[in-house]
Amino acid sequence: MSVLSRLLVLVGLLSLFHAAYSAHEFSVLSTKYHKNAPLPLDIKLETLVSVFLACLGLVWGSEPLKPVGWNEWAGELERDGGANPFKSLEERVNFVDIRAQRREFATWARQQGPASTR
Amino acid sequence: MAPSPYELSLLLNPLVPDSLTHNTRTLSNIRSISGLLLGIAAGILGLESLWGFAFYLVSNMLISALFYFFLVGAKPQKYFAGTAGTRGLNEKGPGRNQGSGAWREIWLGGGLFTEALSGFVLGWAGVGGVIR
Repeated sequence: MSVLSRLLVLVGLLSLFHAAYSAHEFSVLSTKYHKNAPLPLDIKLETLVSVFLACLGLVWGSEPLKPVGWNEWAGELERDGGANPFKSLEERVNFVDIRAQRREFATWARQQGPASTR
Repeated sequence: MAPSPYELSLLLNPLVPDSLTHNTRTLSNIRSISGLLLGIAAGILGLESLWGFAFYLVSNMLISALFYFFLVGAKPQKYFAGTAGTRGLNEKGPGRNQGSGAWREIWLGGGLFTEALSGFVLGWAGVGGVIR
């Protein structure tokens, strides 16, 4: 996707410069032979299409935006495996699951065997 | 003292400054680069006086539409702050108020009438002068 968008920008820029060169040549010729001729349609179309392609590639290839609300941002961080900014709130003593902790300790003690409980 | 609606909105739905600056910078980058390109195009086309500015406005609306539908996904409140104090407060019913006014930052913001416009005029005058 990023390669395609860069290619779009490159093609747009090249064809924009081609259009500029064509317009320059045309203006040189028209002042030499028949004065004040309007710019031919194909050069105009080439300019418009190439600038549109370049802008499309520019928008397409730019970095994705980040959500601005704290809740969505934190959720995205947690989903990507980063540190949760609400961690200090979620690990307060009042939120500890005391039954799960006891069960964990009981299985650990059972695994240690009677020798360690002596 | 009861908090004002603005303070309440900040408490209910705080914003992430990093994301805000990142999004605004992305938009203004797009605007300034495309402003220069549009200026070059206007110079090639040989537009004069108000036609040049009309070209600038129309094509920037097109770029805003691309940005709005491609990058923002038609949900401006998700990526831009919008009017201060409208976010989070919901007096009409349950749920969170998404806020309002963020579309203005996309369609009219990002230096549309400041930096990008000066880049456009630079490209327009420069290329127009060189070609003719």
